[in-house]
Amino acid sequence: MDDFARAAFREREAKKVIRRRAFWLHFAIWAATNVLLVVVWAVTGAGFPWFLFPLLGWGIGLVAHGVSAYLFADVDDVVLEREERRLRD
Amino acid sequence: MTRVFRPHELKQAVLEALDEHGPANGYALMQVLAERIGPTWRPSPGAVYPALLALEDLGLIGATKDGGGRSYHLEPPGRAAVARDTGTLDRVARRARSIERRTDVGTLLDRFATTHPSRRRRVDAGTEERIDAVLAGAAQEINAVMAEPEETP
Repeated sequence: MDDFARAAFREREAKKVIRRRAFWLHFAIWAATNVLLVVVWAVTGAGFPWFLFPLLGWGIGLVAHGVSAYLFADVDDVVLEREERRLRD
Repeated sequence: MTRVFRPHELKQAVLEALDEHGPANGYALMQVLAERIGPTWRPSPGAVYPALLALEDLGLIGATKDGGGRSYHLEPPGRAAVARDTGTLDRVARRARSIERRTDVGTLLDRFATTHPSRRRRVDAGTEERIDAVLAGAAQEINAVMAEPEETP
């Protein structure tokens, strides 16, 4: 593998790491916010569980973010992964 | 940020760059593209290398071992593809120039004011006057710069 290919793999890898970290940051913010909402709900009498609405609504967005961070790859990623496998074998 | 390349344009641009430059390795090709397109496009092996692999897969270019690296050259179908559609590089370069980054003068002045190392120091009236004079001179020079027409490459 030449330097250029190595640089390309490194760059893709770094982008992937950044994409995944961004997702976990999103997850942390979602979790912290919703814990706070549950606490507010609990100390105000634990009546109708209204906290579920933001939790689930935002949860859809969070799941979508997770899918794009971990499951989706663009064409370039697929091409590079295939080349990496070919070079390894 | 606006994208400089539309889908498929990078591959065509790589073919054109190979046609102009002759056989080249990845870095040399990226250099050719960067020079033609200008500073708006940040060259990256992560974008160019997959394009090279795809073109190789399609049989448009070939690669030969050259020292520690690979040298790419146009194959006949690639040459035909360049002949069919020239001008992609020019088009991309034109687009890149039109989305060139522009900055407010105020942003530059703010940056100067907020990063100058002496900004927290206190001065007496005499020094204040001298600094005011320096800034008045700078303001005049900036006016002179602003009065000149901008370079349009």
